[in-house]
Amino acid sequence: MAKAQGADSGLRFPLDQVIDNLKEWPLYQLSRDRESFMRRVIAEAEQDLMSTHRTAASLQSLVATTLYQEKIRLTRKPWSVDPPDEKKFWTHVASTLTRLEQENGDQQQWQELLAEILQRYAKEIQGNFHMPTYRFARLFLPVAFNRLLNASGNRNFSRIFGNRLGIHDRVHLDGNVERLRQIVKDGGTVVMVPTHFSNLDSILVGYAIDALGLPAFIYGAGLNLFSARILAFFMNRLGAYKVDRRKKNRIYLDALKAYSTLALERGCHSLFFPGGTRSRSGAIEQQLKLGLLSTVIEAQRRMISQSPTGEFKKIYIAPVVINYNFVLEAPVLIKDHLQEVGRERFFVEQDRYSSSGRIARFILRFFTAGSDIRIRFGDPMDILGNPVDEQGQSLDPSGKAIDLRAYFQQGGVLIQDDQRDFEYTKILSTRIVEAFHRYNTVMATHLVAFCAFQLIKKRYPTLDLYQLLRLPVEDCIWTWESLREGAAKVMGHVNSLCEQGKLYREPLLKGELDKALQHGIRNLGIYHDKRALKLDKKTGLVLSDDLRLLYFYHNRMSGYGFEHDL
Amino acid sequence: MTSEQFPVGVIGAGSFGTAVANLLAENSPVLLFTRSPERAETMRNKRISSGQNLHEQVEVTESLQEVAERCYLIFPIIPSEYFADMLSVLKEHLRPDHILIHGTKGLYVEPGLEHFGLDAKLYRRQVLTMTELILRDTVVLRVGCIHGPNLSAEIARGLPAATVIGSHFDQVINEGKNALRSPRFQVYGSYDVLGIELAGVLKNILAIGSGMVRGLEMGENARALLMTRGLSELIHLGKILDIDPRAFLGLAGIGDIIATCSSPLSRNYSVGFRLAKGEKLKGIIESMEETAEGVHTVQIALGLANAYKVSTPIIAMLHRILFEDAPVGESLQRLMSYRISKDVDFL
Repeated sequence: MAKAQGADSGLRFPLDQVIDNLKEWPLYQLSRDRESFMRRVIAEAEQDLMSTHRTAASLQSLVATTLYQEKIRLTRKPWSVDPPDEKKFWTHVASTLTRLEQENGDQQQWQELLAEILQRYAKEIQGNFHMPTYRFARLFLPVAFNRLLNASGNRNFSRIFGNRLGIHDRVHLDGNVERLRQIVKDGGTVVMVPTHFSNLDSILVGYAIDALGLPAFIYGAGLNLFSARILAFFMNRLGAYKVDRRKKNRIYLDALKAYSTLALERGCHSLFFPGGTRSRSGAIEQQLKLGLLSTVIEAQRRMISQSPTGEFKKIYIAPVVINYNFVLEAPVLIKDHLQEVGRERFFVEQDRYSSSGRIARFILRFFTAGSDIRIRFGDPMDILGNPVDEQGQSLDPSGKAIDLRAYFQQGGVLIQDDQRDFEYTKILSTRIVEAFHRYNTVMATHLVAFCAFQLIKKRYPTLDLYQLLRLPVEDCIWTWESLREGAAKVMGHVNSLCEQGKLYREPLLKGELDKALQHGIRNLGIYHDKRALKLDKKTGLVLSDDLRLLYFYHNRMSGYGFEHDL
Repeated sequence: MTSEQFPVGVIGAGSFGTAVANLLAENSPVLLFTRSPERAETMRNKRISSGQNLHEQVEVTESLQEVAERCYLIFPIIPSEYFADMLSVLKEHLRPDHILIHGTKGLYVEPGLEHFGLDAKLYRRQVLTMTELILRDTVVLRVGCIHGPNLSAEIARGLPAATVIGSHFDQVINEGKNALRSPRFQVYGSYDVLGIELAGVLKNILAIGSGMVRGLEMGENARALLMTRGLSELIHLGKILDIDPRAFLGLAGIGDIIATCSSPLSRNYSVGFRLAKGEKLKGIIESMEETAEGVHTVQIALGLANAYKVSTPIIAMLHRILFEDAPVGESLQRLMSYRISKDVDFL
């Protein structure tokens, strides 16, 4: 396979495997004793639930609440991916519950019912790793991508240069990749936490992990993705475990957390989207979900307590920021966002992209579009967001080495304290959000969207967001000069942040601004039915067919105070 | 539990620091830090600090390193203007298992912004509480603060009192409680760190005003008016900074306001009182042994009020008196001319 040039790292992807022997991969080993692992997951969740529900009465109320929530889910938010015997199972739980209530069941009986529910959840969550599928995917997918890329628009281009385009030309991997590889080589465990904008993220990050030569990760994937059979086939065999956002009951969440904690404790590298769901607004996540994140702290605490004085294995957080010129779901996402924020209506998550066909079309459309993607890997941090050096040693604000163990000590003694660890989770979450903003890459498309939207906002200072978004198309007009002037001001600020290492910009933005803006307008949400921005050749004016889309792409640059530059 | 092995550290041997050290010494050994080696020597010989006899369990040191190495629970109680400098030394010796509970009632402003005029604007990001400063500059995460009606002189005399520890960590609250609690000292806990901290800091502004009203002998009705309307300004300012108004109704807010606005023992009150009696601010500050945090806080509060367009006529008036030599009597008289339509508009 031809190796292509990485964007700013100077590396040629794919890189060699950090750990050659696939049988040494933690995930492979986990898959080997999957059954005993799953028994531990269930036992662990059960133990945790029993410790907070010590009486038959409280167990009864736990099961009853869960049953109630599950019944609502079954009727209000059914997904095609739900197993056919869902109803049957919960009917069975309901009848057992009624029987135990009538017979005044003892704690033992309630515990058995709890175990049954846990077993079902654990089975659903469980992922696997299948070596032959993995080998096949590695060979097959790049070939498939290359065919897609070269089957379409870029034909002329590649003919001229006699150079076939590969996925590496389209998806740029930036950042401190070497540090990440070194950490894995030294036996550290990596938790990769990407921003989440598109269903495509899952596939891209999977590709990126392999291109970086990292061993396979366990991988928290939304249950709805499994509804596409071909995707489900791969994901089920490549370490993906299922996360069902609809299930918010305590038993399910405990099973999920036990799965993640125990896998991390075994040294499995793990990937999940800490925002929980795709960013509806198009902005970088401001708030993260703390559930899975808390398992990172918990796993590290256990790894330390298993070796109270000696060496312990460390977990490292690798923030990843993915940037697109074009997010296929944008129209739907922004509609959801505006409904959610605007009317605070009850928000029913729908099962979109559910068929294999739709996802395949999605991928096809994406790869045939001439649209670049940038994935930036941030510097790895420890579980409290402290920076680490080449050896993986945590550093404090003045660059002094930190003993991670001390975070879990009190007067020199290791103490288990869930409340403390919950606060640590919040701190980690804040640091990840900061990292997302720091490792974001400004693209010309986002710049032009940001400036255009802010300019129109300034033009109508009395309108609120909703009134603004309802402006007639005839009013959504910019002169080239006004856009250019605005962009120059914002770029001044962007450049200064980049110089301080607080932000990144795509190489295009280091060159001539006019060219970058033209490129930005041309590529912004390029394959949407309605264009967020377009250049009218005759008049030289810039127009928009859809302010909502413009707003979506504009949000990508919010949170930096750029609006004050205009 | 571990107090046998580890003394509790107190950084700062001013009157409040000393009072806290003596309180702590009733439960465990204490290591009390003072900057000056000469002063430390005198304290060791005479067993007196800031006019208070030192408890026999209090050991004196002039080394921050020693405090960090021997203690894991540390109470920094020094004026806010020295806090950042102190941290720059202390941080070299801090570990993630340290617990810091500070008792400083002031704010930190980014260098270069300390002095400004009546119209200057100050944004939230330019102002740090001591807790935020500790989190920014050191490796310590388990941080808290103590605030409440705690006039040092009364605590030193063994009179009963209570305080509140604000921290996000149960562990910090519990360790602080265990270390401080005694039959004459009650300790409460709260997760609202920012609220406790800002209530404790901002209330000094009212203490200055209250001292002025007393100094001019305008009567208790006028003083009550100033305190009540002043509190309302603080709460409105607090709301802009995302603070739950309830923080101002607890020990660190109304509790401390009642104590410091009424007592000549309060430094900030004395500043106001002496200004009303005709002294100049410069002379008062120079003659005082310890910092009156409220003077600086008036500037910061007004800067924030300007930036976020909060109407704070009392704070603005105090600013004019303190920094622009406005006559105290005339300015206070204007209190009567404010048009206030609603009595309680912040809840």
